[in-house]
Parts: sequence; structure tokens; C-alpha cells
Amino acid sequence: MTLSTIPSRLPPEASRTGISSGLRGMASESPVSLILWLALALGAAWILPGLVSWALLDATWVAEDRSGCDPSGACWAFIVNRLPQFGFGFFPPQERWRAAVALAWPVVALAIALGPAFRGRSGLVAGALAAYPVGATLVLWGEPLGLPGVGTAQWGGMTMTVYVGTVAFVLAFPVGLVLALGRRSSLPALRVLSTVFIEVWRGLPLIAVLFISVVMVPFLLPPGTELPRLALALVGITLYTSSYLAEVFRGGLQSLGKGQAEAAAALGFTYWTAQGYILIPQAIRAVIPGILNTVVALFKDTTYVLVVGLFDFLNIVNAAVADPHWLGLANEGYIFVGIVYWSFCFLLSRVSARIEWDMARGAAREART
Amino acid sequence: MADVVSNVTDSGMPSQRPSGTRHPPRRQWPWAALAQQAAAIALVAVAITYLGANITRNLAANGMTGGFGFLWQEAGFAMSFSLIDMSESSTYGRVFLAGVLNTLFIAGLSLVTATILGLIVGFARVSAARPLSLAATVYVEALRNVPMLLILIFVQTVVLRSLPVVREAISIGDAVYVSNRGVYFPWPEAGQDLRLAFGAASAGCLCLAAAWVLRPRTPVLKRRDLAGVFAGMLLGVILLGAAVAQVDWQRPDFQGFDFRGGAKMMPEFAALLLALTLYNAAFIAEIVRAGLQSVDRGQIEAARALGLRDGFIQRRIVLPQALRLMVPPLTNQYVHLIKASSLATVVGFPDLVAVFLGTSLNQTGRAIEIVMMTAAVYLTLCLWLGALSAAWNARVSLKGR
Repeated sequence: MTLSTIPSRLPPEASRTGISSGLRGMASESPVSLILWLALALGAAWILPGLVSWALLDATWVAEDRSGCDPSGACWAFIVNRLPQFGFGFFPPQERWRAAVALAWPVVALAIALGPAFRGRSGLVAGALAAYPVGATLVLWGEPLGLPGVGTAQWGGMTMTVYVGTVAFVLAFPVGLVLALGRRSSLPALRVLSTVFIEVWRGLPLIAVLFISVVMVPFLLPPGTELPRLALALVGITLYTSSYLAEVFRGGLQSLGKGQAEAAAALGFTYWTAQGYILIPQAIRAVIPGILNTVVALFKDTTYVLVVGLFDFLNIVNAAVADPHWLGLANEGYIFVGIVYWSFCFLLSRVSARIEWDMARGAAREART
Repeated sequence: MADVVSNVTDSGMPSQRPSGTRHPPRRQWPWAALAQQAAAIALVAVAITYLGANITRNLAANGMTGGFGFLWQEAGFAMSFSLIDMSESSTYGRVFLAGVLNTLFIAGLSLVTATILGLIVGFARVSAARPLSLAATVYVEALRNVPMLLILIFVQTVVLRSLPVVREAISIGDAVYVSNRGVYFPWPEAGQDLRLAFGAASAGCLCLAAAWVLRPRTPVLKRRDLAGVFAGMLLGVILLGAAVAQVDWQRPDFQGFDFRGGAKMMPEFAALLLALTLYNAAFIAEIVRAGLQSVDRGQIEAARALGLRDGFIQRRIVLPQALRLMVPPLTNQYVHLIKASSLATVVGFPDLVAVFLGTSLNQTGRAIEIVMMTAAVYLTLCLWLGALSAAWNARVSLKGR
């Protein structure tokens, strides 16, 4: 995999072939490379021991407040104490199971989607996700179900992040599909409308979109209608995401050969039946990596809701860091947030890369036969 | 609109096909296409009318008026940073202008730094020296998978606050001081004649440019070809040095509670610049790597077999082919970067979104006008970038395949 910067005075083959690891591999490298290895090792030796003793050896895991922590190590007790809040926001303790349901729902759906295949799996996952916006809202809000009502001001933490991300994704999916079809339509009016819509939402920064939706949407509703800030922010994020998804879907539709549409027309399919049974399913399958990448970007972008005063996972840690009982623990707080976001995004981007690789290999095999 | 052509045959709408016997006969009513479009436009028109009516009613209910007259009103707030003269008596129009300039400034600056860092990391990733590629991989994977906002907040609260207080600022050569209140650096003293220094600097730049233009382009390097280049570079550097020496620099000097003299880079600006650079460089590095790896290895081997020197192969054979693949995603990344510069709002740097969409909107309540103006700025920027990239793409794309 390492083409490139021309390994200068090396014999052409000796340098890279054998991953006959360890010293033999190193011995065959150039002196410059050895010096770099040494520099890297020195850097690691300089940083790692301090980091390990701070993060693990001297760290305090259980404490009542800041004073109970060993000042020479990390104070993970802060995270441990606040974990329920980071996870479920300001949900009343006896109602936290509802937040947990809303949190686990998409995670389980994703796990099923990525796990071993079984009959009817895609239907199950799609159904679970499609039911999420209404289902999770009902579970969290609770009043229509006869549970004690919990207002959106009390939602927060990881639950908020997952709720915002999943609802925006699920609602944006059909909108994006329609926009993609519109942009590829042969009818100029539809094409222009969809193109303008997509380009406008894609051209605006998400922060501006959030400001705009929080300020403008109340003006667009009939006078007297009041919506919680969360709903207003969701409108903005959904439209923003739908225009990105539209471009992903358009890529998928474009990747199908003309033959598919022509064969469908020859068999007497109408526009919508051809799209629904033949073109869209293939297009979506072709762009699963792109969809996953959009999900990763969306998950990272949900942090922007802090500008409109919502307490998502990052913002709730932000607020906790300012707590007088646990002052001066910004390092621990942000490192924890970083690890959580990193693990999720890294996992998903690996999955996406893996699918892409499998597809490329499948295409290559097909081309050979 | 390259896709228009393929649309006609792809979308399965028989009514729009070019007539010809090869195609299936028209089964739809000939006016169907027109009717569908009319229906779509009518639907959008109805929606816009309904929403517009709501806006008018809401504005009336809140006793608000519309129009762009507010742009000539006094804004009454000062900006902590601006490239043009601003005071509390400046108008909203001037606030808008200052906001646009600040956005362009931070976005333009971080675009350059992120590209440079991204190129370095990207070349390191494909380097044959494994320690380099390992370090670059760790960098890219660590930064790509966390939200940029987290990096920004981390840089602001942890990195910048861990810097010493002003009194104990880190001194670099007694000229540049780094503290948690910002970076202080020398600046030309006001009111001096800068024409000579300016002339010397221009001549220096000219020499460097000439050296670059006249650099040896022979595939096989000869030592004597380099002499002219070195002479040009040397002259340029001397002239630039003379220009710097000519100016009376005002050094920051610690007096009382703060530094006096010189210029200061706000910590908010530094945090934003650092975060934008670090985060976007990770993505640019990936784009660079993908581009470089897309070049067929045979190209390099063939060039080496011809006896071409390494630098020449990289520049004239690998890079041009890699660029063809790199430019479209790079443009996307630049658009992302420009949009992400609006995170300035979070750290308190007065960019367009912060001062105009934020403060000015709060004060005047002219939501629609302000939203439209802000949107227009970002859309113009993105469309320009897109157009530039498309023009470049058309120039470098493979012809006749």
C-alpha cells in the first residue's frame, strides 16, 4: 500500500516485501528511517509513562467530590459520579428507563444491521428505525402513554445526541430520496426546485441553519403555535441532512447503468414502479458506505445544537465541568467525551470502509467472469 | 449540468424521450409532463404563500416592520476584532461588512494552514519511511473521528488556559510573547514612511518568483543549472531581510498589567485557527493520500527506468495525475472549512454568524432580511468555490475517453 514518495537509495525489492516483522524489517530500512524510529520511540518514552500514570495508575475512580481525588492523577470519579446525567440528561431518576429505551433503540437496530444476517433482517431494522421518531418521542415525553410527562427541557446527554441524530436521519431519508429523484428528473421544473433546495441547505453552515430554524420557524407557523426549541432545531438539522443524503442518493442513482431503466421500461414498468422495485433498491445498496459516512458526520454535527442551548452529550459535559464541586476537571471531561465520540465514529467508518472494500472486490470478481 | 443529458434516458419517463423508433411507444398523456411540473410549482407556490402570510401575521402581531432600512442604523456594540475601523456608533451595514471580512479572514487563513499541514501529513502517510506513515496515520485517525466542536472547546479551555498568565508569558526571542491572553508580536510602528520597505519587499518577492519560474526543468538534474536559482533566491531573501530591517518595529513591552505596543492575536482567534487547521488537515491528508495512491505504480517505475530524478517524478508525473482525483474532494473540504469557521460563535470570535445572525438579529429583530443576507454570503462563497473547481476539473480531465 505504500507507493509513493520514492524510497530513494533503496534496492527496489528489499525494502517492503516481507512483513518479516521486527528487527529484520527494521534492519532493511534506510538510516533516515532508523533515526525516525528512534525519534518516535523517544517521544513515546517521554510522553507515555506520564500519561499512563496520570490516566490509570494514579487515577481516582471513586470519590465524593474534587477534594477526594488524588491531585497527581486523573479524577475519573467525576465521570463515574456524573455518568447517569451524561447518559440520560436531567431525566427524573425513576423515569430513566425511558431515556435508556430511547438511547438503546437505534443502537440495537444498528447492531442488528451490522451483525450476522438472518431472514427479514433489513425489514426489521428499517421498521425499527422508521418507528423511532414517533416511538421515541412518545416514550420520552410520556404523557400520551399515560406516563408522567417529561418536558424537552429535561432531555439531555447521550439520549439527546442519539435522539437528535436518529430522528434527523430517519426523517431526512425519504426527503433526501425525493430530492435526489427530483434533481435527476427529466422535468425541468422539478429539477430546478430540487437543485436550488439542495444547494441552499448544503451551502449554509449548520450553526447558521440552527440559528435560522430557531428564529425563523416560529414566524412560519400560524400565530400562537409554540414549539419547543428541540423541535425547531430538529427541523433545521433534518433539512440540512436531507440535502446531504440527497447528493449521496444521486450518486447511487447515477452509478446504475442506463440499461436498468431501459430494461424496466421495456418490461412495462412505469416510472414509479421502476424506481421503487428496480432503481432505488440498487442505488441505496450501492451507496451504503456513503450513507454511513453521512451518519458519522451527522453524529459529529449534533454537537452544534449547543449554540441553541440544548444539552447534548458534549454540552452537558461542558456544563458539568463548570460545577463548583468538581472544578478544574476539564481534561477528564473532554477526554471522556472524545473517547466516546471517537469509538463510535471509528467503528462506523471502519464498517463503511469494509463494505466499500467488499463491494470493490465483488465488482472486480464480476468483471473477471 | 452534465447530468441533464443522461437524465433524459435514465429516468424512465417515456414522455420526455427524444422521439425515435427504438424507444418504447409513448403511453402517457402527452401533457403529463407539463401538468406534473405545473402541479409541483403550484404546490410550492401555495406553501410559500401560506408561510408568507404567516410571517406577515406574526410580524404584525409582534409590531415589527420589514425592510433593509436598519442597515443604516447605529448598531451600538463594539467588535473585539475587525479588519476595518469599527466603533459603537458604526451602522449595522458596517457590522455586516466587518463580519464578512472576519469570516473571510479566518476561513482564508485556516484554509492555507490546513492545506499545508494536510499536504505534509498526506505525504507522510504514503511515505516509505514507516515511522513517518505510522505517526501520520495516528494523527489522521485520532482527529477525523471526533467532532470539530470538541477539538475547538478542548483547544480553548485546556490548551490555551494552560498557557502562563500574561506576567509570566513565554518569550520567544524577546519579540513574541505567548500567554493565556493571546499571542503578542511586533508590528510596524504607526505613522512611518513604509514606501522603501514596501519596495524592497516587492523586489524580494519578484526575485523569488523569478527563481521559481527559471528553475531547472530538465528531467535529469545538472548542478550548474541550480546556480542561477540559488543566486535569485539569495537576492530575494536579502531584499526581504532588508525590508524587515528598514521598518521600525514596535515590540510588545510588559507594562503594569498587560503588554503595550506591537500587535496581539486574540486567544479566541488562535483557538479557532488551531482547531480548524488541525481538524481539516486530517481530512485533507486523507484526500492527498487517496490521490497519490491512485497513481499507477507503473508510472513511477517507468519514470525511474528512464532515469528521471525523484523530485521530478513526484512533481511532474505523480502530482498532476493525483490532482485530477484530489481537486473535487478538496473543494468539498474547503466548503466544509468555510462553513465550520462559523463555530467562531462558540468561542466568541466576531465572525459573520456571531455578529450579524446573532447579535444584530437579536437587537433588530429583522429575521428575514438578516437571514437572507447571511445565506447569500455563504452561498456565494460556496458556489464560487464550486465553479472554480468545476473549471479546473474541465481543464484537467482526461479528454476523449
